Amino acid sequence: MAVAALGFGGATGSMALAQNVVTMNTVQIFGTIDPAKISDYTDYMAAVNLYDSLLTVDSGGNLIPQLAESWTVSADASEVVFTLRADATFSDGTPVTAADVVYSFERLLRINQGPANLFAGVVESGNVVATDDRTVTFTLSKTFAPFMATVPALMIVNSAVVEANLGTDDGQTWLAANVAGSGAYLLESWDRGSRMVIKRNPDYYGEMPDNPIDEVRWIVTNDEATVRALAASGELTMSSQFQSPDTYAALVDMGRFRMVSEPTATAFYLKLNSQLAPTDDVHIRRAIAYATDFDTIREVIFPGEAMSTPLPEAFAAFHNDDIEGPRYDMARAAEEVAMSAYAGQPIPLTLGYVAGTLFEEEISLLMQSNLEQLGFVITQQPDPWNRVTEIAASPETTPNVNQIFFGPTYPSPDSMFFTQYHSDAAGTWASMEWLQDPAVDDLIDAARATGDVDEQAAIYKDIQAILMDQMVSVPLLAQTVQHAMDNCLDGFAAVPMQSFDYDFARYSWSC
Amino acid sequence: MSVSGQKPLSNAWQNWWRFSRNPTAVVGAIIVITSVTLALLAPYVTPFPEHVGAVVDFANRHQAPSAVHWFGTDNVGRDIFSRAIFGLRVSLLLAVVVLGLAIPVGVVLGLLAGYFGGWVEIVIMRVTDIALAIPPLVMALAVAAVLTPSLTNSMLAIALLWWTWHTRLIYSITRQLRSQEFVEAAETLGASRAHILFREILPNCVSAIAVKTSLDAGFVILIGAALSFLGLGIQPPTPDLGTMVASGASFLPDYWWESVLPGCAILFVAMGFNLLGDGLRDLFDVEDVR
Repeated sequence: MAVAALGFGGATGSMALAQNVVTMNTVQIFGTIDPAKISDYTDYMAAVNLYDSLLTVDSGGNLIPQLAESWTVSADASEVVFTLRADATFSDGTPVTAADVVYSFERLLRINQGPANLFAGVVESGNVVATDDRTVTFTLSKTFAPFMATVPALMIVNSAVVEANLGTDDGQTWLAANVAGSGAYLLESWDRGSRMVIKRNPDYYGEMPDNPIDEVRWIVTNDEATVRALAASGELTMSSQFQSPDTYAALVDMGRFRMVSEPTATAFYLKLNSQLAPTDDVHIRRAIAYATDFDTIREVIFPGEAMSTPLPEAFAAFHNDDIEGPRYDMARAAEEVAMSAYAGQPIPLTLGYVAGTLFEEEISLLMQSNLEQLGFVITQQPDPWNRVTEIAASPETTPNVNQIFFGPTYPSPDSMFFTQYHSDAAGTWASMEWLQDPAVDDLIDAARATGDVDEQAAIYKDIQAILMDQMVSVPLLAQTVQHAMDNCLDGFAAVPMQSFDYDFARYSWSC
Repeated sequence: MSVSGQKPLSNAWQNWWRFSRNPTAVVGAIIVITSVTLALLAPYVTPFPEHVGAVVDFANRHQAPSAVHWFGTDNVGRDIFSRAIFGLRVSLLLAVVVLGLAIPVGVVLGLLAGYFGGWVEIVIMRVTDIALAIPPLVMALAVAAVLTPSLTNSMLAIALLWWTWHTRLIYSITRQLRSQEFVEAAETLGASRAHILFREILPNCVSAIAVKTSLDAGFVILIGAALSFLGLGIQPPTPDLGTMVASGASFLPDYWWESVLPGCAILFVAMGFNLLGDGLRDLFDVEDVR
């Protein structure tokens, strides 16, 4: 920072000194910034800075007001009334009204992509009504306990601006490259393949910390050597969360960076295809779990927190603490193989992982070396990510063992259980276990239908017990989110909702 | 004639003498013979033959080159020298399969086009021109995208385009030979077309084919390495030089040996074939090749 300011000081005057610029690398491109279409981590990362929602989420997973200043939930949890802030404005200065909320919701349902699936079957079209300029009512079609947790995913667009640029596709073309939001930042420039720059909106209605971040530059690169070079040249202020341990160590050695590290609700599993031989046998699945060297994986290959059930401990109230959790025990693994229907013969097994991901290849090799001792005949199957999503569509093409990260898309255990284990959600990369268990389906449905948190917790604990007994997913670790951050940059706190921790309105510069 | 009282040298001895006076050719030949021998005897000559498989030794990961591990160890603690020697097998296999498929096809098509002329020539040579316009690397990427990325598919994709170079070469030689007296003599004597093509013309192309083949081997190995660098090669844990360079590259510059030394192995074997090819070209005095 200081060097840059001195170098260009003569040309730009003292203005340069007042700018707090954060430069961060992302490992994938920004797919879209249209709040009706966002789906992955970079999409959400841009959207949470450019758009605001009625509510947002803090690091404890609690809902906190953003555009809404207050809300009331009816006794039977079927109706929620939000009251908007009187001073809330879009970036063009016009006030945010209840009509904009209705418009954003209807547009989301019409386009039916991105976060739309969170509301499908829960709130029907026409059931979000503006009672006056500042009051909007959501009427639910059924009791759906996780509803409130999904509200932050509904980002509010400026209906007047979208209407003016409607085109023939509901403004999708225009919003793919432009912003009509009320977020703390404005889109400055976006070169799809390489970078995005956003600038602070000086007229933002909401609260900003002292000494806020004026500009954020995201540089798209997943190349470790490039990240190190950017850091060495003084350009990088914050790394992505997907760098290798060596890169983090190299950055810290430079003296300008510190490591921030927090446990998250994102889990890393070995998903075992329960519909394909030999992992259709519970004893084979348990043998694979016993043959997993958890300590080496968590301590050497990919640092993370231990997990004892498929639900990360970040969901403390719902986590079943009575389950002991899997452990590495080759003798027990051999006993399980002996009990299986495939005992006494070479057992073919495919290990799938994302091609080009070094730590997944290391884990796959570690699994192979242990499983070969038990008589398995291993085929490694690295596939690029777009192919993983394809082969996950049928149980015949899904490999026996799959290394998959899955984190909640809304801060509720329902997001973890429904998407991964309910038979209605089968056929995606998140459900490569192919668990078709009516008992689990019923429990997930029962938890959705009750508003009583204690009852939900009891149900979720039962589900965890069934899943660990069936051992369809071997929980490897809960991801620790790690960033190398400039010593001057403050404000990072992990949030159990996708990319909400990269809302730079929460960050500040301390130098 | 035999003023000195010695018998004249046989043809083979003359060739060998001329070849051995060309230092680059000898170096090339030595490199090629060494590579092939090492690859064939890999299980017996490597210090850690078991490291070719799924061996993990995380305590010894990222070790610098030493007396025990000549090329150091990789990110799961395997000996890079042993894996590089085994990696030669994949590279050489690729060269053998691709050229084994491409050369017979290319040579036969070149003979037909050059000897018969007319519409046969037009069809074959225009198809050749079209195929020449497609870069082999792009073709391999396309095949991998449509089918699954694997060594077999990569080899097929390269072979699918590689015959064109041989067609062009043999075509130009055949056209020159077609009006030579020995060909006309054979025609006058009523020899069959097959006899003329394969017994009269083809033997005169052998030296050009030999030169082209050894030059090609180097290029095919380089393209194969590029493909596996891009993730279209053989599946792990089987070692492959291009893949080793790719996975080692993420540890640059700290653990430079993990990518630089397998890269040197590619350089070594590709350079060997090129030097040998250059030497053969000088020896046979073939001008048309490259």
